[in-house]
Amino acid sequence: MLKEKIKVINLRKYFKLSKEDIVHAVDGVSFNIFKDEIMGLVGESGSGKTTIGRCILSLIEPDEGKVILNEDNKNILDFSKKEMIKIRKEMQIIFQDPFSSLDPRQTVEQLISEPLRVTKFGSKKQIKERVLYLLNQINLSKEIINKYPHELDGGRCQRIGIARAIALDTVSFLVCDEPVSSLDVSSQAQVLKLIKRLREKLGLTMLFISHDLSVVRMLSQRIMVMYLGLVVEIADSNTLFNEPLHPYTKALLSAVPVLDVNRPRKKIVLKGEIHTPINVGQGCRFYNRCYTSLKKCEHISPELIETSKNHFVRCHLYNKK
Amino acid sequence: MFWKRFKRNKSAILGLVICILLLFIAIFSPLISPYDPYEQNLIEKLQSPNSNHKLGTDAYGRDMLSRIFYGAGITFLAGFLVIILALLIGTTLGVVSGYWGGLFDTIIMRSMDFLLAFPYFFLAILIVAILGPSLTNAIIAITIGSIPQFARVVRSTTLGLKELPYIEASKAMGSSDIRIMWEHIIPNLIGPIIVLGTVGIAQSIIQVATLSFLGMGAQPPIAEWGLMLSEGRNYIFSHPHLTMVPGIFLSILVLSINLIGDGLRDTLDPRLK
Amino acid sequence: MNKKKKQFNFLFYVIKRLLMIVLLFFLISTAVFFMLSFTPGDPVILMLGLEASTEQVEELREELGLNDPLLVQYWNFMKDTFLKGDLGYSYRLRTPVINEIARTLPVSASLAILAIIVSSFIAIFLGTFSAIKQYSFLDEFTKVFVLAGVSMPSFWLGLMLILIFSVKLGLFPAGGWGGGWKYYVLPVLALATNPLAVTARLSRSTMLEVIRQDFIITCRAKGLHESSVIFKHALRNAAIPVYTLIGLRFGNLLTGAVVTETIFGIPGLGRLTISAVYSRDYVLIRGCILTIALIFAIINLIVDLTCPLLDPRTKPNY
Repeated sequence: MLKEKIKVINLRKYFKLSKEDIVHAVDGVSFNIFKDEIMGLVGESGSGKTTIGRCILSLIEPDEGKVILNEDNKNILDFSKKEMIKIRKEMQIIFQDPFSSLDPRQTVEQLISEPLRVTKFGSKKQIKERVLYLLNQINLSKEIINKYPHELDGGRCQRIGIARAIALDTVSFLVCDEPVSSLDVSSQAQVLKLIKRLREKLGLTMLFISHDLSVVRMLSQRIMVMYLGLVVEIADSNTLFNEPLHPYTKALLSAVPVLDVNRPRKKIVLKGEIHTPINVGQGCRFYNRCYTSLKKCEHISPELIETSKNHFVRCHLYNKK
Repeated sequence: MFWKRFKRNKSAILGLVICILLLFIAIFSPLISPYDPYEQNLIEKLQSPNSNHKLGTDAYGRDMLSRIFYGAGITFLAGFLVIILALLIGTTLGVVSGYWGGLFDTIIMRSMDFLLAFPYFFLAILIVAILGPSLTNAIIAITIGSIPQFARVVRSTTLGLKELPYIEASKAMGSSDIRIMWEHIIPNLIGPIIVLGTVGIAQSIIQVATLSFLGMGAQPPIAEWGLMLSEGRNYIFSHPHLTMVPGIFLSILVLSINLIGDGLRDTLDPRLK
Repeated sequence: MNKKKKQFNFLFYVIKRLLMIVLLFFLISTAVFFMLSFTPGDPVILMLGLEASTEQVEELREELGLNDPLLVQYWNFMKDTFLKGDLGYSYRLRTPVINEIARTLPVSASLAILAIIVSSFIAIFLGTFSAIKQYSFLDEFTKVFVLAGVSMPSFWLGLMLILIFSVKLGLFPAGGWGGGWKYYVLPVLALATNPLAVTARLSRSTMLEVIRQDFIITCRAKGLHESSVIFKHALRNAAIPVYTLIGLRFGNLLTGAVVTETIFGIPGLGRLTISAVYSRDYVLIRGCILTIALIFAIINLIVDLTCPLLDPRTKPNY
């Protein structure tokens, strides 16, 4: 029985801005995503979450690391173009901006059918039937099939992006890169509901990237928190929300609006600005904003360790050594 | 939607009407010409406009009106062919250069720079000097000189387009580079190309006519308007209509195309008033 | 960066550009040489005529070095051109090419310079005032003029000018050269019209943009007199793209010169080139093209270097 759908090992991606400045976008990240699970990935801008999503799909070439699909022990980042064709039939992505991720000169039909045409799914008729079926799946009426993106609203466009991503029935893994961040609240709810429904129906494994914790909580079983290119905490959804460990996670959570007025909350406001991911130094990356730091945090970077079952944290406060 | 905005530009519509009229004349010239434009009739030579020959006759007795009608097609077609060829070649080079970059880009752009180092027309003169004077060679010469402007514009637009998310989306679906260039990049280039192309047709018509005028383009007895002007030049003092008539028609043709081009430019970018 | 380093960098940049021109010239010479050597027809027979005997042909061929392998000819050609400035000898005309060019270049240059001056001033004037007084008679006139100027082929314009001012009105000579300022008027008009139209259009649209910009409104708000606002600030800003355009247009000007010189029978470089092409005088063609390409490159360099003086934003990175 397949347990680990995706295994990411020591992924690194650096961007060279100039001779001296290197951006450590992703600096040694390892994690697993289990089959049929939605793994949430949160972090602010510059944390590297978007880069990870793209590295997994081989849209950006990482500098180091392995990505293993379906436990077959082959690093898909090493695959040739031919081998990638099969991978692309299984792994897909949904983008953040619904409008710029759709070619403004193509109709809805052309947009959704592109993966079908690329993989030579079938005859024109078969392709059209499939497109109509997909439109049905995303709750859009057949009449929009000849419309252009600019004639539709953000929520609809995003759903078209989803239809496009699941067009092939071989798709089993989906990276959702901030799919609702550009939408208004009511569209957000619609799209999230759709994603949830589709996942159950089609048996998809997902990596759900967002900067918004409350959104991530709705969908994910497990959540990964990133800061400046490193994973700082991984835990089950509920555990993360009820018993967060890392100071950064705690600060993030304290900012999430909560309806229960009786629950005591103290909003933690972080001092200082996020360190640039350029030329990071020796110690813990969160040090300069941390409110409970120890002396060793300035000079020694903590490792990611498991504190309880399936709960990982990268912080000296929990390091038993 | 595009049409509505275009229609608001009155002069552009005027240009379009004139252009269509001239094209009409060109296409139906065999039917509407009163005489055979190549038929010489020395008895009737050098007549001023009269009831028999509405625009007079030239030095060989050929009917000017018929020659103008036939010449419409030839003159327009020459300029049009130049631009179509320059557009196809220039766009291909520009897209490849912009999308793939690297060595392709360097070679192609350096070649374009090299072509641009010659003053436009002298490059054409040089090429005609080598290939010999004929309408075909004139078209080839002007085409070569016109390629760089297309290549450059297409390249810079492509550089901007290839960073857009929908290109990345297409890659995620496994589209090959060629497919992306064909399906996503080229259709989004149409705007700048159309304007460049329309203005280019006007310029090319003048260029080919100029070459013909200098004897390096269309050769007698072709009824190209530039050549006709040169043939009439000898009689400019005695029979000015031989130069005035083709000149007026040529100017009107070019004017109408320029009007259309301006209209297109305004429609596609209403900021520029 | 201190001033000395800046000046040093600038000098370095100028030298780099000059070297590039030399390289370009080198490439162009090579290209032109090989292109012309592949033309059909035997140049010697063309020079001597069809009645020449076989011995004469052979003798001339030997003398011109045409029996040498192509690469040797190429080497000799490059040596002569770059080291001696000798562009070859035109058998047809019986003079060295360089003499012909020296004879004709000043003529073309004087026409071109006059045309630039005339067209620039009138264009800026027309463009500016039609922008300031939009929708006035001047504005409408300018727009029509621009359209006409851009659409009329220059050779026809030249002929029309002759027809009207020379034949019908008898004011100016219909062609020819060397009799004083009257011979300049019509050719310069014919030559200047197209660049005038294009420049006027650009000057007008740039002026319109500049006028609407905030800083002009600020000037007005400060209470500066209207005309000083216009002339000092707006004009200066509008002049910049116009200046660049003039540099670009220069190429077209050289082109237009060919036609104008032919129509008016002016002994300039353009007409020389055309007659060289007609008579298949390849050595002369080569010399003319190289000269023109060189002038073109130098003019471009000058425009590029002087542009930053008007607009500091266009300063390239040294």
